[in-house]
Amino acid sequence: VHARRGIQDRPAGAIDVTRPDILIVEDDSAIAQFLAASLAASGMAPRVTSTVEQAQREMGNAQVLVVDLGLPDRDGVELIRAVRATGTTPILVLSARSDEMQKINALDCGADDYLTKPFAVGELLARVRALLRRARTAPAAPSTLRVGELVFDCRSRSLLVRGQAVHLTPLEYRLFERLAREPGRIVTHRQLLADVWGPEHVDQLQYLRIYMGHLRAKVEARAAEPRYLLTELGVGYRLADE
Amino acid sequence: MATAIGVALDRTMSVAGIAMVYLLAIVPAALLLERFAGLLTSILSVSALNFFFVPPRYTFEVDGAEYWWTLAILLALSLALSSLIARLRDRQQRAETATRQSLQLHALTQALATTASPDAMCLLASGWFSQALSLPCAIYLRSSEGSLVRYTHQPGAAFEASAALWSIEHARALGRGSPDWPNLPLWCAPFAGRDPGGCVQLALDDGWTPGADLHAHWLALVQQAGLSIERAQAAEAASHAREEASSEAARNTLLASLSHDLRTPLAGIMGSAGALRTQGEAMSRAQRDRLLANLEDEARDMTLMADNVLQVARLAQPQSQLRLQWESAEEILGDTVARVRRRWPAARITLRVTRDLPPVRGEAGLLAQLVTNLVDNAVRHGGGHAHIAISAGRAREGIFIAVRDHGAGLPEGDCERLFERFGRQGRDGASGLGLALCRMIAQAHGGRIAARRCTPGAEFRIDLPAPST
Repeated sequence: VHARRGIQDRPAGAIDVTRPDILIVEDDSAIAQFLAASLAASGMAPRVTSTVEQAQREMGNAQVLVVDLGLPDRDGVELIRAVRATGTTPILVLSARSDEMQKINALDCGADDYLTKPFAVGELLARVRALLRRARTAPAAPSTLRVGELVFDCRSRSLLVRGQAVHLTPLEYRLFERLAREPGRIVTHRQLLADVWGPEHVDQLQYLRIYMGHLRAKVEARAAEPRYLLTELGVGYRLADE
Repeated sequence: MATAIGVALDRTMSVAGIAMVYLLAIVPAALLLERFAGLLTSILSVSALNFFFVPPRYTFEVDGAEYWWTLAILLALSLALSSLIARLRDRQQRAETATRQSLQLHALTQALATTASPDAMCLLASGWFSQALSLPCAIYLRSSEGSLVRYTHQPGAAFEASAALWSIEHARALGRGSPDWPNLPLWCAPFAGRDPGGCVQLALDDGWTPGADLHAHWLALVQQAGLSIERAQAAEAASHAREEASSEAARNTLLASLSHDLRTPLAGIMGSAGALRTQGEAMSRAQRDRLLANLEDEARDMTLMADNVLQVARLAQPQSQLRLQWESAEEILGDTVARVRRRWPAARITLRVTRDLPPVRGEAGLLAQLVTNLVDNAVRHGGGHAHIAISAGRAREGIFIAVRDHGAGLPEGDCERLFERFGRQGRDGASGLGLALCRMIAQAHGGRIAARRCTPGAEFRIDLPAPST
């Protein structure tokens, strides 16, 4: 699928920063090694730390943080909170299958994306590249968003699907708009419910399910196998950005 | 009254006849009154006969030997009669009491048979005692740590734990009416045997001492209750032991089948990695790629296996709790299908979901794992180019999810056995862990899973409850 983000987006080849600075926070040395090796092999400059304290000391100007949640000294979520308190450095969380709740907590606290161990190198590289790309284009929030066959204009509040204008109810619009604000980024159930329905409704997951169902029926060709409004099972949703 | 009748008959009957009337009056008196009242009635009757009818009338004097004889015979007869009747009545009362007591004993046994748990039985028994005997009752059990546990419905009554302890330790009854501690306002008797596991205590009102008969009956009741309670305790201990042994056996089977199942992919991983390391340079690019792909596949299989073990261990815990949310079956299936397609690119996997399925209460990760296991199972049995059709729709009481393959079908025998924990399927290398987990997940969601034979292949169907909308 050909996709471009925003009208003033630059083609991916024309990145002016070479060798982006990636800080890895991972205490398992085998995993840290293969992370560093594969990031370096794809043109990035990884640095490895193994504790929250060390990571905070050596933060520097890291462009992406790759944070394991099970760290020896402190909870990885604490690091995420500390980083979010001061800036917007993209954070990719690595979690084991057994710390599902911690992972959602990390995303609620501001982490941008996650990978569940074990994962393939290809997936890791794709996520890190997506974070770098989004970080670079983030400041200029585009008024028009094109993803595949979708064209979304938030000034005129219009959504075109395969060239056809689609009518959205106010709640459907707000839900779509919330996801389109950060294309490609996971938005947790909690964040979506708080932003669209209000903070008192963060536990009313059934609203979200119903409206997401309506939205998919209008946007997707096959609602059961969505291409744009993607499910992150048990976590949240994201709007595809490619 | 006898005197009145006697006056009425005075003219027609002799003194002997009137004596018969008095004799008649003694029979109901002896039947209805206490033994001594009966005897008193006899004496009074003879005196009345003397006073009213024996000349000279209206005095206690007696004229002539004939009247003396009449009075003496009447007295002897009436005394004999009333004592005979009283004895008869006593015997009948004793028989009635014995019947009532044995009925009570039977009722107690029946009441206690309605429960199997020792705790519930103790409460039931204490309630039964206090109702049947109209006395506050407590049952004390000696716990395995040696402390006493009390069961009662009248916690405010004046029970004495120290008396209970004495009774249990000495295996003897004590309290009011007993040789031991006769002044305590209670009665306490241990269960049968030389080392009783508990006792029954009754709180008694002041100023009432139960007789030996009653004590004997109470003791019989206590021993009967004790027998039932101790039997329940033994049954519970035995079932605990059995459970422990069977979960121990299940753990051993799990460990054995796991170590077998882990060895297969591990052998592949070690072999492939070793070959690449030592002979990689001599291999063609295609050979190297095949070995690398093997490495990834085997590692992925082990991941699924590890996830399954993790969840089996979690769900097998009696106090395990699901993180239930309103979930959409469509989303879960969409996500799972996308993942299994990446895992088995050569297989043809289709998905058909009815529109507007109601949401289900579930844990998304577990339901996804359920479907993943079924697809994994289907691909293994259908080969790499298997055709697997996944569908979901409304069912009578919720929704169904079906995974149909067109492979070699199910092994002979009962389809239910496929889901038995660690019941090896035999046809492939995998242990039954995956399917056993499928059933555990379905059941943990209040649903069920079933397998059936199709031509060709097999279908696994999950039914999950959903709120009717």
